[in-house]
Formats: sequence, C-alpha cells, structure tokens
Amino acid sequence: MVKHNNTLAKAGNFRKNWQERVKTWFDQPGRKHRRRSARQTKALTLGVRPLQLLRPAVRAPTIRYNTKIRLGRGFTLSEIKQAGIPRKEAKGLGIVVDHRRKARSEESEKVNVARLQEYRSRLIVFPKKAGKAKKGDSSAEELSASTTRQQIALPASYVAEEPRAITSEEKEFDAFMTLRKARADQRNAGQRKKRADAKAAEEDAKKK
Amino acid sequence: MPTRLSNTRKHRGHVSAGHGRVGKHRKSPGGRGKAGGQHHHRTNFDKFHPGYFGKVGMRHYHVLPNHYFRPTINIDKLISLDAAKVDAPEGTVPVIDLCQFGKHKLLGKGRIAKPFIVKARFVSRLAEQKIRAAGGVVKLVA
Repeated sequence: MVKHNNTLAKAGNFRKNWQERVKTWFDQPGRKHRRRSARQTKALTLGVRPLQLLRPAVRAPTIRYNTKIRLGRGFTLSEIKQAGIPRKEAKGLGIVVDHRRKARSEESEKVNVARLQEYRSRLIVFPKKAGKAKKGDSSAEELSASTTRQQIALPASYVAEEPRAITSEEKEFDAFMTLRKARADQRNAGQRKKRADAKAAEEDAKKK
Repeated sequence: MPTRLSNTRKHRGHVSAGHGRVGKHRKSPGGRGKAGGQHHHRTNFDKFHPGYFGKVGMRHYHVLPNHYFRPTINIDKLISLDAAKVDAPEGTVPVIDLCQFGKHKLLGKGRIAKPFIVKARFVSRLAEQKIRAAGGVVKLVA
C-alpha cells in the first residue's frame, strides 16, 4: 500500500556506506604549509632566478569566459620570433614555448610580444666566471642592482571607457535589427545559396 | 522500559494481536516504494502526479551549456551599476559595458530616464526602444 500522504516514495532512502565515499580536506592546512616551505627551498636554490616560468597572457575560451585573461601554457613560435628570442634560448631563459598554440588576433600577439620584451629587458645575465664579463653579459652595476621576483602582471582584461558624446553613427545604428538580420542571414544562407546556384545553372542551360 | 509495562504484554494470548484476521499485518502489501504506478496504484498516480510517466521534448546530443550562456539584465537595473554612476560632463554620456558585469543581454523591464551608451552582446527590441527614448544608444560588442 502506498503511504496515505499521496507523495512519491523517495529514491534516496537507502543507507549507503557514505563514510567510505567522503573526501576530507583535513590535510589542507598541512598541504598549504608544505607547498609554502617547498617554494621557499626552491627560491633558495634558484638564487635570483624567478620562481615561475614566463607564460603568455591568453583569453579564456568560450563565450562565457572570454572576458577573462589568464596565463596560457606557452608562447607561440611566432611570438618568440617577433620578440627576437631563439626557440632554444627561450628554454634557457625560463620562457615556455608552446608549438601548438596560435595567436588568433594581432592584438593578443602584440600583448605577448610586449610581455616577452619586458621580461627580456629585466633579465640580468651573470658572467660564467665572476669578474670576467663576456659579450651579452650584464654590466657590473646591473649585477649589483636590486632584483625582483615579481611576475610580470597580466594585462587588464577590460579598460573602462570614459563618458563621451554619442556619435551620429551610433544614433542611426539599430542593434536589435542588426542582430535579427544576422541571425536570419545565417539561417537562410543555405537556402539562398541553393536558389542562386539553381538560377545560375538555369542561365547556363539557356546559353547552351 | 521493562517488558512488563509494554503494551505488547496485553496482546499476548489474543490470536492476531490486534492486527486483524482478514487484512493481516504483512510487510508491504501494496509493494515497496513506487511499485504499481501504472497498475494497482494507477488512480493515485494519475490523480496526484500527472505527467509522472513518459517523456517530453527532444534529445539534445552533447549539450555545451557555455555556448548558451546569456545572463540578462533589465534596463531598470542599469543606473545601479558602477559604470553608470560616473560623473559625465555636459554633452557626454556614461558608457556601460555589460560584459564587464557578466551580463550578456539587455532586456526592457522597467523605466529609464538617463541617457547611456550601453554595450552589450544582445539586446531586446523593447530595451533598445526605451534606451533610445531616454536619449541613449545600444552598441553591439563581441
């Protein structure tokens, strides 16, 4: 017999062995501490080198997240080429190269080239033998200058526009109809092409 | 509680202990859980849970919800955005980029009195009408 309250029996009334399935985070503070001390020992061994490798600024994918800028995997081949850094040298300088990524726009490429150049300009090259500077090594005063481990900041994802006058172009522009039209064009593209092709074929047939 | 106080003591010696000779006290005579929704409990299901059985709509293979991500904002909320609160000198109009606030589409609920340049990915007909009536414009951005 059903229960007389006219509700459906719930499916989740089984006693599961839930304790086995629970993931605890009791080691979170411990882990945090471990990571921190690991970073500190790494920093000691690295000397004045930066803690992290240099990675490009990229836009997050999909329409949902593409307003955000984050670190990507590596610089494209064309970006390091434009910045004038040979591919193999890049690895030695702590720059990550991703041979698969492509810059999809000039702007994004420019940002990353600038990033590389800024990194390059900050770089101090110590002579292999102290006191015997070779070509390409930094000068003595640069060597003694204070250094920073600060990462090169990501560019701002958005720059607010100042209040301005409305242009006459904007006044005439009908946003809603533009969207409607674009959607309709996309929807009808196939049909229109079919019709145009049929017409062309007909005219061809007439000529013959 | 000691056994001697339990009510069961009173049922001892009486054949079915108050549970009846005809109906009997069996475990789940109607079936367990949601058993019999289309059979012996049909009336109850039809009456209190219409639409419980069957399917509605079409299959959509490989749904990518991010592609349909389109949070909306109504024009009556525009003035409460930070970008709308800036001081606009005479002859200029504040520019509001809705994408920056995580909103993609502008809808037309409510009233608007101040002119704005609103940048959005999508806009409804009514929203654009009202923005224009207030002296502003809508700009489409990618």
